[in-house]
Amino acid sequence: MILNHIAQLAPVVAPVLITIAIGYAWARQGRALDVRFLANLIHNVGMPCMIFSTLTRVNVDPLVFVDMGWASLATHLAFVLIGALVLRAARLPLSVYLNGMVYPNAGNVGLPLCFFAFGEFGLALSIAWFTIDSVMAATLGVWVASGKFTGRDLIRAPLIYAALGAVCFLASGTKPPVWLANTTGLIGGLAIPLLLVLLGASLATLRVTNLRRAVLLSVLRLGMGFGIGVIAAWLFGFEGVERGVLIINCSLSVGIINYLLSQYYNREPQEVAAMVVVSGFISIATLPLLLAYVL
Amino acid sequence: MTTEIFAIVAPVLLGAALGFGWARYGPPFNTELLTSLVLIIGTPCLIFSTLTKFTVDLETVGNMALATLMSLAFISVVGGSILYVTRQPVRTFLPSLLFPNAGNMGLPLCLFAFGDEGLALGIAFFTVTSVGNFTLGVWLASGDMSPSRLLRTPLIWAAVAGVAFLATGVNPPLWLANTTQLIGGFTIPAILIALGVALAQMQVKNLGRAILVGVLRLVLGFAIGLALAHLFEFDGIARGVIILQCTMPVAVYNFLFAQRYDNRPSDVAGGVVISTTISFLTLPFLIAFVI
Repeated sequence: MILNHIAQLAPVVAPVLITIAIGYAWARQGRALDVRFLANLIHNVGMPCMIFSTLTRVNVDPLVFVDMGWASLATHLAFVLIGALVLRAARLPLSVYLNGMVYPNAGNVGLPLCFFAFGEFGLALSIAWFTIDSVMAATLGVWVASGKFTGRDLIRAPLIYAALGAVCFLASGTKPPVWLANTTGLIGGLAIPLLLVLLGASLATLRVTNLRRAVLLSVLRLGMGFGIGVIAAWLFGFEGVERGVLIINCSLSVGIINYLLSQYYNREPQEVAAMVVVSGFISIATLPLLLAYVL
Repeated sequence: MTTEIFAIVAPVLLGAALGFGWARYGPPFNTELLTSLVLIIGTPCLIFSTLTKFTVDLETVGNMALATLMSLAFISVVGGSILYVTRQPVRTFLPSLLFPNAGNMGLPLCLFAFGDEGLALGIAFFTVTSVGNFTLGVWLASGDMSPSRLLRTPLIWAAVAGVAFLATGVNPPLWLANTTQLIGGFTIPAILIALGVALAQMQVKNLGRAILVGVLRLVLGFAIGLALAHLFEFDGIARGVIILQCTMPVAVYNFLFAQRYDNRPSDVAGGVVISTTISFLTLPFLIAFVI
C-alpha cells in the first residue's frame, strides 16, 4: 500500500526535489551562483517562451483557462484578506510579512509538479494560475512592499506579453507558425530547471534569524493555502486536474519573489528570507502528502 | 519547403541572435556559470534522458558512434596533412577542423529536422566528439594528455549509463526519466544562447587564415559526412544526422581550450566566427539537402 503510493508519487515529486537539491549542493560547495544573471535569463527569456509555447500547444477550451484565472484571483484575494487579519492581530507590519502569505512558489515548484502529475494539460492550467499570481505580485505585491501603486513592474514583465500573445492565438483559434512554436518551445526549456536550481541555492544561502516567528508564519502560509485551495476548488466546482492544480498551487511554500521584493524595497528582507527557507523545508516534507491527497 | 526549412533553422538562428544581442546590449552575461551548469548538470541529463527514450536501438547508436570516430580519424589525416603542407601550426588548427559544433548547433537542428529519433542519433555523435574534444582536443591544445580528465567528465558517465539501459532494454524508473528530462531541457537553449554570446565577444584578427580554417572545416566535414553515410549505408534520419553533424562549424570549445592553454586563441576564434557565419548562410541549403 505505502510502496504503491511511493511508486506513484516519486515520478511527480522527485524531479522537483532532486533539482532543488542540486541547486542546494551547488551553493553549499561554494560554487558561485550569479543570482541576478540567472534570474534575468529566466524571467526575460525562459519564462515568457515557456508560457507562450505551452499555452499555444495544448488543445484546451480557452474558457477553462478563464475559470482557472478567476479561481487564482479569488484565492489570492482570500490570502490577502486572511493574511492581513492574522498579521494585524499579531501586530506584525503588513509591508514586511503580508506578501509572503500571498505569493507561493507557483512558478518554480507548482509548474513542474502539475506537469508531472497531470501532463501538459496540468501545466497549461498551472500557467493560468501562475500568470494571475505574477500580475498580482507585480501590482498589489509591489504596492504592499513599497507603499506606492504603480503599473511599472507589470508593463516591464515580459511574461505578461507572452501570456497576452498566447491568448490572442487561443482566442482566434489559430496555431502559431511552426518556427515560432519550435523556437519558444526550445528556449522555454530553460525556465523551470533553472528556477528550481535557484530555489535550492536560496535555501542554502539565505539565513534564518527569528526561527520561531518564521515557523509560525510558514505553518500559517501552508495551512491557510491548503484550506483555501480545498474550499475554492469546491466553490468553483472543480474536479480532477483542475481541482488538483488549484490545490497544489495554493498550498506551496513562500515564494522567492517575496524575498526579492522585500530586498528591493528594503522591508526587512532577512525576515522574509527566513519564511522562504523554513516554509521551503517544511514543504519538502508536506509535498508528497499534498500530492497523495490530490492524485 | 521554405517554411519547413525555416522552422528548423529559426530556433538556432534566433537563439544565437538572442545571445548575440544580450552580449552587445544587455547586462553582463555570465558565460562561465552557464557553461559549468551545462557541463556538470545539463548535458549529462540530456544524454541520459535522450538515449533512454528508446527512440533508436543500440545498433544504430553504435553505428553512429563508430561513424563519428571514423570522421575524426579521417579529418586527422587529411586535415592534418593540409595544415602541414600549407605550413599552418597543426596543433593550433587541427582541433578546429576535427571538432564541429555538434552540441550548440547540431543538436537543435537534428531535433527539429528529424524529431526525437534525430536528437538521439545527434546525441550519439555529440557524445563521441565531446569525449574527443576533452581528450585529444585538450592534448593538442595543451600538449598534456591526462586520461583522468575523461573520468572526471560527467557526460561520460551519463552516456555509459544510458547505453547500459539501451543494451539491456530496461526502462529507467519513471522518477529518474522525469528528473533527467526536466533538467536536460535547459541544456540546448543555454548553449545556443552562449554560442551567440561567444560570437559577439570573439574577434577575427587574421582574416585569411580564419577563412582557410573555416572553409576547410565545412568542406571537409560535408565530404566526410557524405562518404560515411554511403559507407555505412545510412539512409533517412541516420544519413541526415551524420551529414548535418559533420558539416557543423568550428566548435566554440576549441576556442575555450586554446584560450585556457594559451594556444593562439585569437587565431582559433577567427575560425569559429568565420565558419559559423558561413554556416548560417549555407544552413538552409544543407537542411534542404538532408531532409
